[in-house]
Amino acid sequence: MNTGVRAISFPGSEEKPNRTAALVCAALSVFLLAYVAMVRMNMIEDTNHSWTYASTLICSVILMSAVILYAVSDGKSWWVRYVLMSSIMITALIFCVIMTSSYLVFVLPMILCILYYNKEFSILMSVICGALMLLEPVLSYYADKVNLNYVDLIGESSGTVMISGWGWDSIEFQLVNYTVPCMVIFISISMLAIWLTHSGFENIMRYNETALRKAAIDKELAIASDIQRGMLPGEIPGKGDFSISARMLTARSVGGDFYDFLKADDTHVALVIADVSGKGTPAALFMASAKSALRSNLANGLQPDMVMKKTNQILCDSNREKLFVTSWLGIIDLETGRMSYVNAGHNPPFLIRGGKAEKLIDPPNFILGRKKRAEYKEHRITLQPGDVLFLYTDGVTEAVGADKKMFGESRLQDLLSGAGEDAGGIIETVDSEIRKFVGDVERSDDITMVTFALHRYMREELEFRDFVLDRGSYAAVMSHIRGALESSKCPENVIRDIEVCSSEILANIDMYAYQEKGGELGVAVSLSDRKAKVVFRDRGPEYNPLLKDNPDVEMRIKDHKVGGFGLSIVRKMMDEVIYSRENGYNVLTIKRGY
Amino acid sequence: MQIDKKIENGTLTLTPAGSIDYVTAPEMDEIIEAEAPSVRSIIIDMAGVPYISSAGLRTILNADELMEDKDGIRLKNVNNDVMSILRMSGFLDTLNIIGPE
Repeated sequence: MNTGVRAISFPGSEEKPNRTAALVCAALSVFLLAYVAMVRMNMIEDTNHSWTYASTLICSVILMSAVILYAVSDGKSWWVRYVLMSSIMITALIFCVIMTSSYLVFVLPMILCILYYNKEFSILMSVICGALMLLEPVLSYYADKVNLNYVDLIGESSGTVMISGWGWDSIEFQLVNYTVPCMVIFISISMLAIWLTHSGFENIMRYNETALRKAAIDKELAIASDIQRGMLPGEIPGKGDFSISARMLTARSVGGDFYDFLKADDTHVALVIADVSGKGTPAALFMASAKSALRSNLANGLQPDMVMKKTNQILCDSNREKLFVTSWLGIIDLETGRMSYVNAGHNPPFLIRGGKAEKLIDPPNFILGRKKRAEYKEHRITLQPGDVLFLYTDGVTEAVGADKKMFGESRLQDLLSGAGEDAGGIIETVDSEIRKFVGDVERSDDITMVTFALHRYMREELEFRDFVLDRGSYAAVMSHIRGALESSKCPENVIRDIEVCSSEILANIDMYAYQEKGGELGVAVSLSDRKAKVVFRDRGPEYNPLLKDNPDVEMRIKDHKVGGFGLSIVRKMMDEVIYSRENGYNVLTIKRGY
Repeated sequence: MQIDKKIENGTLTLTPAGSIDYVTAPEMDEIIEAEAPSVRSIIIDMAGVPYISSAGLRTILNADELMEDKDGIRLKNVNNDVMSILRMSGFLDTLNIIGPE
């Protein structure tokens, strides 16, 4: 223990014992006053002479004065204890002198000084008390008093015997026969008191230190919890096309669950939920590492399966404690609702569509962090406006209620089926149901929920340039596309690929939409996030070129139509080709990253 | 589109300048169809062709078909962009192609 810790005063180190001592003083004083009063009213016969009466009164006044001093002080000044203890010791001394058999009154200050947990103070008190006890026979002598207990030892017979010849002999006699044995008892009690003071102090300091350490740990954990909360994503910008809501309740200050969502680019949202095995600090640290690995892989623009694979490899390389993570990752194309997702050993999320919640069940992949060569297979579904995804960790379904039953999947499924389409509302509903179910039972696992609600497909405000498409305007359309791409600093190789594809698409439109007779064509070009996008629209009859089968080279020789063959080139060269029918237009979108 | 045409020892050599696409391919089709009966083979010098669309591929297939029973066709000086389209569409295996000189 260093002096710094020793200097810290534990609460009430002065106030509490001072209060006790003051109470003792007050009680003694009241008792003595009552005694005086009773003597006055002749209820008790004053066997001694008037000394007793007077000294009792003096004692009670001294005691009361000490109590009054205590009362007017703040109760914790350094001198208060000296005042109180002195009053008790003076009373003890007077008592011993007047009533010769009251030596043990000196035990009282000794017991009281234990309360101060101050060894030096206890030693001082015992020395003063001891000295006073030695002084007492001398004072008694001058007060003309003798210990009547020993009278019969001096005289021949018992009874009221007057002893003549007072002198040092009798003091010596009293010292040897009475004071010394009493001192032996007193010294033992003093030693005990000093030991109790000391060990009490040590215990309190030890307790204090433990409490301080615990407070430091608690503070660190609170900070850790704060940091962990800070790692959770905030709101992500959107234009009302979708909404995301999330809630995490940790069983301890820090937990092993986490969720994440981010805009992977302008049109894609990534959702992550994960649960680290284990609890507390180790799980929290592993969670942090898993989270940042997932984030950085997502930021690298990888597909979900590759994100999981890379994250798994990173975690396998730094997993001394043999922890693991179960995780679910989905990337949603906000324009089309298409979602690619990978489930690495996590609870399958629920898809709520039309008031019915169904699990997204696919053959599970291996958990993250334990098998470096694990492969992760992604699956795809298309979300429709109005759909809600509900991601959760097993803390939800394994929440234990008062009757030791678990919340369970089917209860959750039923609940979600009637929970509406509002991302925040669903979480609110499930949360309150779990709380109701669990009641007062302490939470044993982290509970995490994330909802994603798709309200409508995202529509980019595209600026179309309109042309009348025929063989004559073909070159103008192509140069418009090149110009728009060049002015947006699109790399030349990408421009060339887009030109090839545009050429195919224009040929297609001319042939199939307008039977080579020409017609209206709108072209929109946009670049963002290292991704080029060209949108073509025509007024032709509804026709989805993507539904054509991939052509076969040999077939083409016999059948000299171009059509779908060009589209197969487009599909191979572009990252994405999307057809939609909108407001009487055939809309074909091609996208290419760089 | 500018297409140079040369006939030497029964071989038609075409040197188009510009992309062979939906708009320009028909011109080439015309020349090939007109000259095919009188030649034994066709060489297309692609040095001046930055890219080729599916319409251009059809032109090449067409020419290949016309020369099927004769000495066939050859492409030469094919640049990388065009080569990648040929590869993508599976033409590399069926055509006689000579890279850049």
